[in-house]
Amino acid sequence: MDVFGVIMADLVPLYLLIGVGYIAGRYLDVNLHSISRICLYILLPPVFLGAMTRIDIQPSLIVLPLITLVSSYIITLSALNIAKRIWQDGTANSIASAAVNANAVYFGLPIVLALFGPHGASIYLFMNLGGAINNASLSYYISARGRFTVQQSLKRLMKLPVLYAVVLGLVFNYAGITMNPIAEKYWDYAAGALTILGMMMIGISVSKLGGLSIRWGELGALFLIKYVAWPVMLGAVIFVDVHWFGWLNHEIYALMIILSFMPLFANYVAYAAENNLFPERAGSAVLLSSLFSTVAIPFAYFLIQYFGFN
Amino acid sequence: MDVVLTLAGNLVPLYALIVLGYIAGKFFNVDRQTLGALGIYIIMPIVTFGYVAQMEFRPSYIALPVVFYAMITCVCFIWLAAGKKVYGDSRANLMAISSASGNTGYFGLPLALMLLPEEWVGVYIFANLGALLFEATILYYLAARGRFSVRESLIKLARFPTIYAVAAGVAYNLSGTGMADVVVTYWEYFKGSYVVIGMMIIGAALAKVKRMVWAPRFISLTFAGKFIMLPLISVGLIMLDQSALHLFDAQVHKIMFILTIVPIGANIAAFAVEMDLKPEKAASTILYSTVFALISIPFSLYLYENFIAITP
Repeated sequence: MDVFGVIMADLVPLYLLIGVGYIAGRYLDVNLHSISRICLYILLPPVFLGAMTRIDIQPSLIVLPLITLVSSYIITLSALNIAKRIWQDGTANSIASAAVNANAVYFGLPIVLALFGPHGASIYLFMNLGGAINNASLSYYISARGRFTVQQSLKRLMKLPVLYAVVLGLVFNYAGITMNPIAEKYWDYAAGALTILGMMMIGISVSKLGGLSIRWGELGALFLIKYVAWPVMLGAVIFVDVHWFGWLNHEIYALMIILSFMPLFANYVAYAAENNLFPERAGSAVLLSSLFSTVAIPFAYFLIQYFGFN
Repeated sequence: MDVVLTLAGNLVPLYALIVLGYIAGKFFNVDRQTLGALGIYIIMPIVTFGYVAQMEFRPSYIALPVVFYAMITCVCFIWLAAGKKVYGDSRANLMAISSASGNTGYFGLPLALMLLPEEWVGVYIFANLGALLFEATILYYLAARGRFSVRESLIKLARFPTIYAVAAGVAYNLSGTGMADVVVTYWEYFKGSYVVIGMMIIGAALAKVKRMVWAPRFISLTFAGKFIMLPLISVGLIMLDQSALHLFDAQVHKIMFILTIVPIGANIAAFAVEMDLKPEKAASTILYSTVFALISIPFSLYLYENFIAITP
């Protein structure tokens, strides 16, 4: 039960940060765009780069981002096709673009650091690369509903700084360059700042909305994809690996399970606002799924223990 | 010389962050107001509270902000008098406040983090209250060109969130309640945010300088006050304490020294605008002093460690 205490104790500050973000956005006139740019361009690249130098590279690890990328593409496209039959307005696009994009770094990093330590967190970040690519490519494309061509979306993907940071980090790793104590210290600083600013972004984005609104059907669909389809998909990957391939190890299975239960991404609100896809509903969905993590994350850990992956 | 280079090397990440802040402000259109609001109202108070709550508080520390305040006030008025002789106009005011006020917050705190054992950083923050007092009294007095009222000065002082954070930290500290592990973890995250955002604020502020002004005489006079006179006064007091008074610890001496070797405070640019005091000259001088500090800080610390500090 001790681990569940750790998880809960780590969740409370994350919620407080959402509240602080709300206050900052509402009363201090803090600008969402500036914060998200700092996270995307200044903080995420060095955090990913540093993490990549910590991984013990094995050929089997390289498949991790591919697995998450292909799985998330499959879920996103199926969700879009099914949802389009139910909703004829932009709702289908909204659901499909958001459902698998988890708040894996800002929300997940402190939890994974607490549970798995820096090395586990590095593998976790590497694995999450697939999700980040999906978020910047297919999800973005769907969310824009034809405003951008495929080419434009790909161009945007190529501008994703994290991609280059990962490649550079792997090159460093291969060349045997590791972080010295000073770099480690600044890595900690950057990872800390990422959690603070990233969680505050949820509150800031909600504070800029006129209000919140909930459509239960839409919310149900989002949760169904996020908390059922996506974990089942990654669960299937684990099942297949356990029984046939044996490429991955227990730590990776555990990280994959945790990853699959992360809440919706704060970017959802920003995308929704940018593309006129009901940002008020996106805001409440992100808030509710963040709150739902008090159930989802302990459940993920329960599964990890149940299957003996810890 | 090796020691100086190692110290300079340790400063490189901080300068890299300043450069990133500069780039963010110049090219990514990052809003300086946003960074400033986060820094002043959220990140700084939380970091301050945590350090003060965890420090080993001694009543004698109350003297530190007063001593620091007296030191910078002294430099400020000497340089004001000298400036009036040299310039005879408002440049004297700008020179005086630039020499006296340092970037003890966004620049100084990360520096203190680097140079001091963790438990002494709270003392640094506490001593730095002297700088807030200076800003609310002398700076404001010079900015308002003599139209000074105690009441408004107090109101100004009461507007610094740090004051409340320190007060709350002291109260919490004296209550003897410890901080839970998870609180410390997230407080560490805020510390990281402070270093990153604080340095970027310096860079983003420098990105606002539209036209660089090169004024050799003004710069050398200001630097003489900032990088020579102020540290020398501090060294004088430290030696006095070392040889006669024996009031404070070696770490406290180091703290007082760190407070006096940082570059010119970024708030001087805002004051220069307010005072209609050659804002471009002020901003350029701040930029030069920040760059100059990359050399002067390791060098000052080297001299300090080898000739001043008494290691038990």
